[in-house]
Amino acid sequence: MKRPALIYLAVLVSAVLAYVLCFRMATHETRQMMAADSGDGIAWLRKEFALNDEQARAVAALQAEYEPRCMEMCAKITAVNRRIEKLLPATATMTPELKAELEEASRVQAECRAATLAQAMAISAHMAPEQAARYRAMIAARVLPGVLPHDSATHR
Amino acid sequence: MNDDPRLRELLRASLPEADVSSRFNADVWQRIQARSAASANRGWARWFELVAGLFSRPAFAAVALMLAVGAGAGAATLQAADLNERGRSELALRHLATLDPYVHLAAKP
Repeated sequence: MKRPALIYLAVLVSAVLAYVLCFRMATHETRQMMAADSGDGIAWLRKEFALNDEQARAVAALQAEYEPRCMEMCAKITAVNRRIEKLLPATATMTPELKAELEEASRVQAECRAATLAQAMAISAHMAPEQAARYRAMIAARVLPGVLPHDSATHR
Repeated sequence: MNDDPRLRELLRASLPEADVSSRFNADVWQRIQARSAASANRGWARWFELVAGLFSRPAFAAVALMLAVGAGAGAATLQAADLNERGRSELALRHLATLDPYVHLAAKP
């Protein structure tokens, strides 16, 4: 009775070991990318769009240059949203001020979309043509939902 | 058939007089349940004996080992694919947050 019990235990341990080893091996790359990512997504971009060192450096420089502009747009969005939030509870009808703020919000949104797409295009200029097209399609699908099918752009 | 008082008396005298306790029914059911449980335990024991017998055969033990390793690897592959996909989406979103101010604001805690 002792030997079969040992074999039974060995079977169980082997299954657990196989699970742990395979899981670690299969997720190694993702875990490495997550750990290497410093919040700018460059590590992921490098792997996903096959960037070499030079291309990755150029993209990182572009991103660093773009960051203040992104922060400026964030501030604009926050400001216009706050003004709308303030005006909305104070009126039951569409006032000229509210209409003007809604128009301003649309203008800010269009400005942000244009800036995002322009930055994506600038980044894609440092990629191989096929990768660049895939990258631009992915960003456009996320920035302009409904204009491009999301899945076809991201899961190619 | 005629009613014979002597015969009736004789029959009554021949019946045993037994006191049936108030827990008689409960005790009977308890015994039936105990027997059933013992029978189930014997079933498990038989099953374990059967498996132990099979494990004592090297060929069966080798097949069981291979199946266990395959099952473990298969389950790990499925879970890893899911985790990789979620990680990929998370990283893509992190990158998008550096481009799109709306995504950046939405990602802020």
